Amino acid sequence: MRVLLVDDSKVMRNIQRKILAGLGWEEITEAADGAEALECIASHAPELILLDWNMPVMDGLEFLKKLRSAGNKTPVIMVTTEAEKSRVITAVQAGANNYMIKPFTADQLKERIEQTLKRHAA
Amino acid sequence: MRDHAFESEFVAAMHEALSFILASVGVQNVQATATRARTSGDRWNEVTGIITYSGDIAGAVALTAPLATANAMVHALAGEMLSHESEDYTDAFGELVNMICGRTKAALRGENSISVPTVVIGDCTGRAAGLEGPTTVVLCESGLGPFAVEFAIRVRAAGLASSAKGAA
Repeated sequence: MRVLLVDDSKVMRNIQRKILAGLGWEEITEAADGAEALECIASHAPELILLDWNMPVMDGLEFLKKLRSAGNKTPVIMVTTEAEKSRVITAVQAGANNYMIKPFTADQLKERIEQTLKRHAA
Repeated sequence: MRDHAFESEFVAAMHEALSFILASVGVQNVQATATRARTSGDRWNEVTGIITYSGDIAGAVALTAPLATANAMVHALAGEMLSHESEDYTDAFGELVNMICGRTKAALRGENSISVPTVVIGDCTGRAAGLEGPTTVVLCESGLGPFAVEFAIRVRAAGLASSAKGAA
């Protein structure tokens, strides 16, 4: 499974990378903002994207809108501190497939990933 | 103008967020021991993480901790000891502040946004922290040691001033 981690915090990317490695997914690419992530899309062709919201340069929502407007349907899980219901709705309307609020446990992230991939495959 | 009802709401939301986020990384017994106005004689701790709020409220929040407490907090999140001179250290401390301020924001009324965090190691000033105007200091104790939250937030939306949760 090719996964793209997009988060301006290297520490958060490391935490997510360790969880993904525990699931046996080690083909992981990282980006520190939305603009970097867009550059990774063509070369990496991820099958899943874990996406932070608040980032410098280009935030997660703008990245998501650009991704979907380009016709890319890769499943995206927003992984963010943005916890308001209105933010969840905004993200889903922009094309997010699922939503995970930081902080999270390994089991919570694993469950959210499996749920997202199952829905996407259906 | 200070809005004391809103400040009470903000302190309650911040305390809940501190307890929840720090507990999630294994830090127990987070207690606010005193809340008071900042004075000119107050000193900053060695590590300070700052986030600004904009929207229906505006201002800044700083989580400031002595080096020993900050080291332990960073270790709790990152799962490893990091040098306070490394980028990963400021990254981890900033992420903690980000999670705390994000959760606080979600508990407040209105539409608000938070900035990406800034972390200052060493001397900080109210101006550097974006704390302009009357500043409230919440002194805290935790299983990892003492720290403080300082904030200077003003209400911009008229509807929020009189409708703070818990206001009489």
